[in-house]
Amino acid sequence: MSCREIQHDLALFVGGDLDDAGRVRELKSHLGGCADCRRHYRGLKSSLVSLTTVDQASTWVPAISLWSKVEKSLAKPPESSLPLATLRQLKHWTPFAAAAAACMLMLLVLNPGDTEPTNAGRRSIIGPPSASLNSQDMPAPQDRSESESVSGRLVPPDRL
Amino acid sequence: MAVARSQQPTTPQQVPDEPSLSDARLLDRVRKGESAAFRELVERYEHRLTRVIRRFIEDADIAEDLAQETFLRVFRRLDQFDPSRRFGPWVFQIGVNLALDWHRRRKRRIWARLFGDWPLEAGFDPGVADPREVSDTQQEVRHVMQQIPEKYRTVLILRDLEGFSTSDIAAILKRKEATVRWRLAEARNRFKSLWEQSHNEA
Repeated sequence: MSCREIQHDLALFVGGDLDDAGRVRELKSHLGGCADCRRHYRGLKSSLVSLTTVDQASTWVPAISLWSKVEKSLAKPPESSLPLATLRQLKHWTPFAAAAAACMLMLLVLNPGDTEPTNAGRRSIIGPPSASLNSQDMPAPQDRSESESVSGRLVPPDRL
Repeated sequence: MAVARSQQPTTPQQVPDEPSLSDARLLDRVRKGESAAFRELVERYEHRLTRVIRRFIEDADIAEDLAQETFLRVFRRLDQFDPSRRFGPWVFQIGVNLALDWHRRRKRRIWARLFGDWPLEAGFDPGVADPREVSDTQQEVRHVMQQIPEKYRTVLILRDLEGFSTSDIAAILKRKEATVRWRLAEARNRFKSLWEQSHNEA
């Protein structure tokens, strides 16, 4: 076996994932005569120890059971069962959507375009915000429709 | 697979008697309409599932939402579950996929970072929504982990941080075990190289 193949096996061996006794024997035999691979093995062991120091698993548990939330979500009709994570994301988009809407309004007011300003045109520009802000200019509704398509898959069966 | 059992006291809604029913028996009861059986399954897996998702998504609220979403999908896809397979890996498969999908969507929306108050790489940023004391070593490890491609990092997390067997990881990721083992070796070697490189630079 080449050093490259040995180092591949060493990476499994260091974590106890090399089951083949024959390959383990070959590995040990190779290590006896190859300083590079011995150094590689020591590095693997050391880095694996460092990696596992990030493990604080005991603190990574929910404070309360998820069951009550799951039960409530299962009881909701599909229209109202947007995934919570998606709802959180939508919340972060709200300021952007508002800023985009404000910018659009400012642009329309300050730069009415090449057309000759007419009384009728002015009226349409300075009309109610709902009339001048086209929903397809804003990213938020697009995001929302994506979310709704996700929620569309979440149809609770009637069994519970 | 080791199962994280809930420490909560038994309530009248829980499955009576037989405190350690197998997943398969509980699934049978869920299919018959026993909500208490599904509750038992949720409580059996929620801690470990949330912990695994938090390996990928540091934000605790998002991680809990995704864990909750996992159980909703599990319930709604029960008719698609092959009873010859083990239930646990299927739950984690759905949860890990949700976490990875969430991460990928976040990456695609880089510019959203400008308008949001969460970090782009929330999965490995220890400074947000987590009051834990994080040592320098842990920050270094997380920084190195960010540099490992997702397909290797996922295996590394599931094997070396969460202790899943390679056969369980194969079931969770829907890959052959040989593929998982190859990726695991590659992941450990990449981590070693990047770890040593970061220390040499320091």
